[in-house]
Amino acid sequence: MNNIGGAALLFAFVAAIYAVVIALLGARLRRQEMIRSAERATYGVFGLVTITMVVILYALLVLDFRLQYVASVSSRAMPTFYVIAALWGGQEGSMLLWLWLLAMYSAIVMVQNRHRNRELMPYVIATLMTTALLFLAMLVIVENPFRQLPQVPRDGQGLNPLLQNPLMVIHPPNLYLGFVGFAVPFAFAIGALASGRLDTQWIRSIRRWTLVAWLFLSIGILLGGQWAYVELGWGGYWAWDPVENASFMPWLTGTAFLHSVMIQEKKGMLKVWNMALVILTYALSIFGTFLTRSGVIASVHAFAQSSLGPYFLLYLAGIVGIAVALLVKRLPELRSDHRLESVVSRESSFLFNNLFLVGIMFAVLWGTLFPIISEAVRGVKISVAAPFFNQVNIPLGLGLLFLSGVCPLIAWRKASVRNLRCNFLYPLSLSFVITAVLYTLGIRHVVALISFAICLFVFGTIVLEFYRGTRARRAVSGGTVWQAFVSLIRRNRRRYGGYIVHFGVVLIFVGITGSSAYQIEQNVVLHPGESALVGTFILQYDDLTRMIESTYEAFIAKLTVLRNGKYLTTLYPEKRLYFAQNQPTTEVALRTRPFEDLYIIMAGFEPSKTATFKVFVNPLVFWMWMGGLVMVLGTAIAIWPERYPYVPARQHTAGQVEMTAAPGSRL
Amino acid sequence: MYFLTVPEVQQKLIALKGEPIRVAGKVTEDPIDWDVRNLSLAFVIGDAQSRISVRYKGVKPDMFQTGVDVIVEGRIGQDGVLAASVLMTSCPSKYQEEKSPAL
Amino acid sequence: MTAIDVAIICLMAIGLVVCVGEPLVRRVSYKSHGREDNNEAESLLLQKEMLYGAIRDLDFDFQTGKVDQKDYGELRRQLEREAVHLLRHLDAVDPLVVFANEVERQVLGLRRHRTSAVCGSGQEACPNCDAPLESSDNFCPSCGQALRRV
Repeated sequence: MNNIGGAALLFAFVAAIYAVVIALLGARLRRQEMIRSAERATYGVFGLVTITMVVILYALLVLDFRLQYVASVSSRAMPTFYVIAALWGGQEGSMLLWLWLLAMYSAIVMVQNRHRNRELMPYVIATLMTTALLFLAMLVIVENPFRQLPQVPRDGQGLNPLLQNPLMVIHPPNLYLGFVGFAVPFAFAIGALASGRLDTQWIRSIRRWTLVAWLFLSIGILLGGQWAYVELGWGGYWAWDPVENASFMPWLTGTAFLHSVMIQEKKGMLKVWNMALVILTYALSIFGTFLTRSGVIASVHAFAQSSLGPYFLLYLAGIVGIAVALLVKRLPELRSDHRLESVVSRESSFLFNNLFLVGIMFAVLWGTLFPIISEAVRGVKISVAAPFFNQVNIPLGLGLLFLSGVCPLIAWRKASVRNLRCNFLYPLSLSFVITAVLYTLGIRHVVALISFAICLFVFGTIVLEFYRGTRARRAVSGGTVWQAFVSLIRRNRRRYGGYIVHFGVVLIFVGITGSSAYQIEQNVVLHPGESALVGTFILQYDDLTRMIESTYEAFIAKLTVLRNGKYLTTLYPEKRLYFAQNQPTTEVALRTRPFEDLYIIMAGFEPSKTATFKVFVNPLVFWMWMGGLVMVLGTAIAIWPERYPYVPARQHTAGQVEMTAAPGSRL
Repeated sequence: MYFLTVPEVQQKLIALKGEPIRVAGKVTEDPIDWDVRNLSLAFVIGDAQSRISVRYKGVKPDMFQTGVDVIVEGRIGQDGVLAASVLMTSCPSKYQEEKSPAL
Repeated sequence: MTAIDVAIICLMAIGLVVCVGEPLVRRVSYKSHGREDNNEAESLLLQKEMLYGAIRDLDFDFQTGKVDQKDYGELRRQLEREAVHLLRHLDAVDPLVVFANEVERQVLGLRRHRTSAVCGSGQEACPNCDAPLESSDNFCPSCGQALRRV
């Protein structure tokens, strides 16, 4: 069985090479059949990689410890659910998953473009398959999942218990769906550059791909934060760790691209900028994948050195080099169709949005790379920690948030300043009033107040937009308020889906502000029976019990939580000792409510059962996760296909004939 | 903040006193003192040639034990002990160096 | 490596080669979609989409109160002018339209020829497209050319 898998991988490698060669050859010689053959090869790669995945999955499920990979990530005691998840629990497996997702996306792209974009497709295929080759090469040559052990062990090592958590199971696939997703817009950009078809067609083709990739990346990042919060036990969700940054940077440029693309679609401007953004986003995705694996930067995630670095770097240098060379070559043809009509226009606010996002990205990049650069240049490694990132990114982030409130109030092309001032009125008043209320209620933290004020302002503009849009809709086609509202969203999915996403972002900012500015952290030492006051909570330490499970031994503390004399809940922070890993883990006890989280870990205990607890009260964290859900909803609305989709240009020719059948009629 | 290895710190010990630094090293075989009540962890990082004593105030990370690679941030006091405010252990890395599975 | 393994591997290899090689062997039947001559028409059509989209956006912005009456009027007129210009350009380029116009022209030419044969001269013709004109016409009914009337 495993031999089949190994062979499938090898064949996929060959097929990918073939695909690249024949696609480029077909483009040069203008032979359609060669390009069709390359498409078949792409399908072939997908099929073969799927076979490989199935074989590995099977090996995992039957616990075939002959394979080194299976032995390293699974064990007899592991629940089946996690054995399946162990498929991407280790190096080889996660690379295989990346490859499989890429192959799947490539196959879908082939199907979608059977009769479209024919001039671009050879280069799209070549680009996608070259990326596949990167992973295939690494898998076949360096980290082969089918490597066998000289001696079959009796039991596997098993997946690290910290990874045996539902969040950690879906976090990597989500991130990969995001990273890999950006390969498609990139491939089309290369296709447009290489073929010379630089009009907006390629952008329309990739619009949904970009949104989907962006959505998954967003979810992946939020899930990672949530996992850190719930599992790692340090009371926070983001540490500006190099690997966290590595996933955040492509998200930033991806967001910028999503916005600036609209300007190109509407006015044919920013063509070069968009190309650069797409290339940059993809490069950052690959770079992010590389950072996670090569241990170049010491981080909480990766200490281990790996031999994969050179492969990634070579590929990255090559692909970016080619992309930039093509871009430079086509520079003259990428001139804008129009100029910016007015500084006070939606186009210019999108431009500012881009500048902010790219600015934040560079700040994060600088902070992440600085240690390496300083080591290479001066021989001393200087580390950059959270304070730097926060100092730079908080003002930029708040500025960006404010912009997202201002922008909907401005019209495309040119906004009337008088109208603008009128439009500002309601949201600003709302913001001012409620912020004043917050101030009187005791919120004095300056940055928090500013942040809340801006959040309220943006919320106000979004509500105003929906209100005015619904009113306009009703004026045109009547009906009830609800009907107008639904029809409004249905007819302008992109715009209103986008507003909903912005609302989600506002909620996330609310969550971040609350938990950053007003977190309470307290260490309490308690004997059984004693109580402590943390924030508004009274924690009563009842007892410490010991339990033995199949894979671990647990020490569980029982804490009764009261407030104002009323019973709230009972929390059970734990310390577990997993037998296989011989290493303790801390289980967080968490009570989540919209207003605040109560977060407790047991730092340690003595034989007398006296225990030390670290208690956090984290306000408003709940809204971060809520905001994530809202963002997903908004993106789903924006992506949802129209019932009467944009008709491709060819069919319009027929319509044109109908219209001009009566000569003299024009519009 | 400089990011140094233990030997480097040893060399520049005098100059570095009082400076905020980040150091990477392995926890030695020396006795580890973990005071649960005060959340104070005392240990030594380094190797046979060079070593630094560290005192960390905070929760002992789960992965912390002898032989583990750690990163500490803090300042070296007059007594030559690094008072650490940050202690990080290597993540449950999925991408660890190859280890032979338990037989 | 069992016999079944070998068999399946061979099957995979053959399947791959067949799947990939088939288009090369079957050469002929793939329609060429490379209507490069139509590039200009396609890019004009895309521009038309952009313009219509811009007009829609403008109308919506006006309805939701972001543009005032004066600016709205100006911008809309400007966009409409661009649209008309673009559509004329499209018609000039679209082969079917060109063909239709050519047919029109010839028919009118024949008609005029016959008319003048029947009614004699004095019948006016449009200076632009040669269509027959009434004396009361201020614009040519066929091509819209403005006629200078004293």
